[in-house]
Amino acid sequence: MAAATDDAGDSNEMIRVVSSDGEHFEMPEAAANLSLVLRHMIEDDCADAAGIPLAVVAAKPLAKIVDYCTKHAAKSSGLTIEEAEELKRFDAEFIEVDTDMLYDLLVAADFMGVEGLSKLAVQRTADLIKGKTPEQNRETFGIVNDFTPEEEEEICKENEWAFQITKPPSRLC
Amino acid sequence: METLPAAAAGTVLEDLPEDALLAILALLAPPDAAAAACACRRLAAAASSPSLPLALALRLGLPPPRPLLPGGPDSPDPAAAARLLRSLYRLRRLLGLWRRLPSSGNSGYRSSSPSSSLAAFEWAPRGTLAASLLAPSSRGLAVAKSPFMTLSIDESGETVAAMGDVPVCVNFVGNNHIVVEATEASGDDEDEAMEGGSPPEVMYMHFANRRSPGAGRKRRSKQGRRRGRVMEAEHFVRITDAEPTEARPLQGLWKVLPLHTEIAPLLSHMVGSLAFSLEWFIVMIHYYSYHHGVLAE
Repeated sequence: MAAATDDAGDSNEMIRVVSSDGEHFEMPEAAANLSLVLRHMIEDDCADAAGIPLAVVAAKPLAKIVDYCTKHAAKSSGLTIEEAEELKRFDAEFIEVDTDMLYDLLVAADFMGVEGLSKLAVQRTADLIKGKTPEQNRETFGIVNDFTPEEEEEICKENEWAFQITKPPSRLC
Repeated sequence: METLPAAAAGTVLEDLPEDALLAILALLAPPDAAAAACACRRLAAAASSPSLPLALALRLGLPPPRPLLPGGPDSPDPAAAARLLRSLYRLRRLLGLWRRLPSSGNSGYRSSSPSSSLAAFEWAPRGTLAASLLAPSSRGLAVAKSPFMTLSIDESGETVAAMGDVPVCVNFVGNNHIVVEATEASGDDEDEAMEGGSPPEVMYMHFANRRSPGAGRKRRSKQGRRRGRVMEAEHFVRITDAEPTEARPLQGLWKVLPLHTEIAPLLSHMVGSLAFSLEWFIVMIHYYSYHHGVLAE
């Protein structure tokens, strides 16, 4: 777990959270505040020594989320260009995960209301889809083709218009 | 506490909440979104969900499009949602800078001065896309911007465009070339006009003027005439390298100051750039720095 730095926020209080499989984690309050759910719990005085239980977030993704929030809370305001670039590099490395972890992060970030992480995971998933055929998408994401041949033909026909559009330059997407 | 609900079971893409799927699809270009939709039923359902246009609009920073506003208990018509989605993609494809090709004749419509050969398409308030003609102002670095065309999405989800009060239609010819022509508000029935019979003068207009490759433009010409002046089709090509990139931080669009217009052809010759007028100069390679002030005003 990344350590909080001094500029993590006004409060140095540590918030404890408990994963669905019973593992305990700690993070500075400023980091926990990046999660909408945790912030509301803290505001409602539900953050006690026993920790806030997160019923649908397992230990593995929760460790990553604590890492993410701690890093981002420490660098939340008044970023220099170098710090912003460092945070960008951190995000790029952070999200280099396998698809299982990516889904877990998507679900957990959505559940915990960590907006920045949700965006990062959604963007990463979209990047993985880009430029792939339906079959390649199935391979990458372990998707089972559950269409009947007739349905598949129909859905391809429905989407024909989109295939005919030349892709816009990447910066517009 | 001992169970691992999602992680242990192995979440798969199609198990993600619909919100997440919509957010992912909204980031994709149409061919990629279509390829995803063809992978499995769950993704196909998300791609044809009436909520996708809303997700895309939110991603583009637009207000909820009118056809999707919660105005009644009925769920939005899927066909309208599909039209809306196409319209949003279409407007998004128009974003950026476009160069007007010189007219084949003297159009007499709007400004035909060579200085207004550059058009910028940008998002405007209330979910519209505004196109402005940019012209180098004689005052230093300033750039004069004059409204040219507005595009928006109507109640049925179709794209509507207008030049002032004249309805126009914008057709793509490939990804980097558009044709702007006068049209009727209902854009999809031009083929009917073909069969409906047209006055000879309109027929003449059709063949005499340069048109987009599509058929059936007579009604548009007629419309143009009805408004009191003939509107010739305007052709624009996309300026693809108008912004600096990380690899080429100095590339971009330059304004040549009035005192130095004579250097544009010279620079063009030296650096192999594309100079399309004496006033505007696009640097395609990284030898010259991009001046942010040029388009900021």
